[in-house]
Amino acid sequence: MLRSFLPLVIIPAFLAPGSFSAAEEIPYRRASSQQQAVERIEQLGGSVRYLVAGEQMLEVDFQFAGDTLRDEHLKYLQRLENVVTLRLKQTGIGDRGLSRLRKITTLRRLFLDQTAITDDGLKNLASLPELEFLSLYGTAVTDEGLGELAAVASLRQLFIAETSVSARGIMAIQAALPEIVVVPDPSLQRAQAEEFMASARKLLADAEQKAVEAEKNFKELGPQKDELKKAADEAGKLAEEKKQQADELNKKREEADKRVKVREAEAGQADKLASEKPDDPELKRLAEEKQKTLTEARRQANEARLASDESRKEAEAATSKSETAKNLAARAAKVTEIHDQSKKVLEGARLRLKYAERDSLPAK
Amino acid sequence: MRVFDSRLQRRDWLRLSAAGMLTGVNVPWFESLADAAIERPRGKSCILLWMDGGPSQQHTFDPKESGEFKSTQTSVPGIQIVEQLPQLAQCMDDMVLVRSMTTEINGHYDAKYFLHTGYKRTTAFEHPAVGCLASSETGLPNDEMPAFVTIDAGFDRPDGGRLYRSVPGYLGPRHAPLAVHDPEKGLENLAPSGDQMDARLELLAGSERRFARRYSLPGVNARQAAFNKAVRLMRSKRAKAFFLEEETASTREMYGEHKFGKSCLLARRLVEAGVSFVEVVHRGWDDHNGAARPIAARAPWMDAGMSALIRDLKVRGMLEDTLVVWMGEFGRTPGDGNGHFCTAWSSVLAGGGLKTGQVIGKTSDGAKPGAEVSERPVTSPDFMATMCRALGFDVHKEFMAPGQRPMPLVEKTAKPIEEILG
Repeated sequence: MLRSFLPLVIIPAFLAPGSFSAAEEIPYRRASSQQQAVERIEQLGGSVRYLVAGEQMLEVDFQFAGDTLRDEHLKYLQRLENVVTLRLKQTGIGDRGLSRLRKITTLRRLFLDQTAITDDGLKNLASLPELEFLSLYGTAVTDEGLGELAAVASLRQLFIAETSVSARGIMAIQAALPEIVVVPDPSLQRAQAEEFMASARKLLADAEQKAVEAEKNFKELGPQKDELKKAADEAGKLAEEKKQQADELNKKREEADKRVKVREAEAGQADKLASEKPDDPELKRLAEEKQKTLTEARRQANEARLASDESRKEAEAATSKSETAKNLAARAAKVTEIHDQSKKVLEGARLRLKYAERDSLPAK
Repeated sequence: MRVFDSRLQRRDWLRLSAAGMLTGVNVPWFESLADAAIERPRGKSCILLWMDGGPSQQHTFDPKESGEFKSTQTSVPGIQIVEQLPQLAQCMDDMVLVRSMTTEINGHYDAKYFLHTGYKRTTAFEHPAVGCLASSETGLPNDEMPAFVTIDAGFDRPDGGRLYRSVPGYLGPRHAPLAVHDPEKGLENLAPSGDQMDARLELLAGSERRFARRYSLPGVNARQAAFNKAVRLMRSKRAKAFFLEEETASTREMYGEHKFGKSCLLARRLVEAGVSFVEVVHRGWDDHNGAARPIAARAPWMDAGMSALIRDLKVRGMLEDTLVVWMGEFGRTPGDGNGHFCTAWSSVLAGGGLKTGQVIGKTSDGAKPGAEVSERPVTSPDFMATMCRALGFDVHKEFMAPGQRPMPLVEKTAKPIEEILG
């Protein structure tokens, strides 16, 4: 069913130039204006943009144009004003293309990464008075090419990873252009690798020492962590029960005390009545009875107090025991956590040493 | 012939305008043809290493004498960071430490929002995240690659508050990020499944065209634009940037085996392939039980991943065009780092053509070391303005937020850190 549609399929526009790097050949055609040059550049899969909003400096970027871009296409640049950055990374240009750049005197930054340029082409850069930044990453450039660059007095940053440049070539250009930064600089890398190794060793030693300490602390309590937790929970429960008991007995004591107060009042009342009518035997008898009841109430209150005091003491003891158990359990948990973490720290420190060892291997 | 992209290209539009075919349309850029072609500034790319949860400044880039970590000399005389980060110490020439971040918000989510947008959360609308701004300000509208990608670099501990996700807000849905969930897997489902892809896409496009003609709503167009972008990406050779196995073994080793290092490597590959903004999110810096041991355990892979990124960008000549930012939503309480601390904390900027090799701001010493900023406070809007300037955006630009409310790209009171801007 779908198959019958196939002859009608229109190639979608997103398969535009730029998606293909090798296939098409787009010939150079003269551009009569800036606008036309921009259009031609875009047709090649390049782009032209201002570097920063509100400023006039231009960047021409061909890094995704691939092999579509040929040496002669660089003539379009001469139509544009104020080209400061030019990206030619991974394009099809070569030494002949570099000769097209001689008139782009505003150029400050040039990316030639992973192109087919050679030492020979670098001669052309001597006529660029503003060139500060040059990437030769992944090219076939050698010490000889770097020698040509000694004539580019404005050069400040030079990128030479994945090339055939040697330490001697780097030293030569550093001597010719004292302000230049060459990236990477093997002598700097070596020094950094040594320093990194020293740090990694020290940090590993620290981590090992801390891990030993953590292990020791862990061994004391860590393995009983779960039991201690259980014991602490139980002690906590017991303390809670004891406390409830004590509270109850305390309440009883308070009630008994209240009863004593009532009885005291009653007895007092009865005494008063009896003393007002000393001849009334009934009143005397009542007063004596009330006195007896009061004595009994006092006895009960006393008992209640003793029981409450006893219980409170027990509760306090249970609470303190529970606190101790809780602290012990918490300590067990903490030493276990520290133990686990210090193992991770140790693991990390070993990893760091591995990285340091790798960094100090001689570069391939 | 454009099948999927029904919008007029800007230049076609210009031509039609010139020919008088589109009258009554205000075309302010008509004066300058060259400008029209150039559209947006190149600016710089950005890799944001987001340490979710709030990393402790005293256990990373602002060590104190009384602190739990010892400090080490960096490659810049007079600047010290913790000894647990020896490789980053050697990258100091290419870094700026901002030790005077002071950002008002101590709650995870609101702070994440504030530090991603430069604005405090409101109920009225969402502000665009900085990655979405990059997409709208320096991303190329019809590029094969997405302008903004987020990478999930995993987590150490699951807490640290709700995760913030970058939202384009009033910039429009086409500036939303593309999310990579696992750097090792790259972009899943990127390869077309089954055969006759073109025929199937054409069939779909045909019916969508009819639908879009009948119901020309913003939502329909946005959906179609997103679909077009996906198809373009699927077809692009540059999409191989999403796959780490293309990288040499030695480079992969340099970044380390941790998911964070792999995310850093993926970020470099994406920037190399033309992505404007990559955000690597590592969760789990919310160290409430003391920051010392957890950070000591994390330091080796963070040190390896971030320093490898800086060095690799540098060796490839990309560092000057790529701003690397390391930060979280706040720092942690001085000393043990147990609590959230927005009063005085640190962030790091690297590369991006900045004047690197320096420290901005200072935290107090004395009785309570690090309790407050003692020199040159940097607020969240200040930091956002600094990033935006470094990335080449026009910081005075205004957008129209819902309710016809003009919103500046960064808050008008923001003062960028001029000392580091080139």
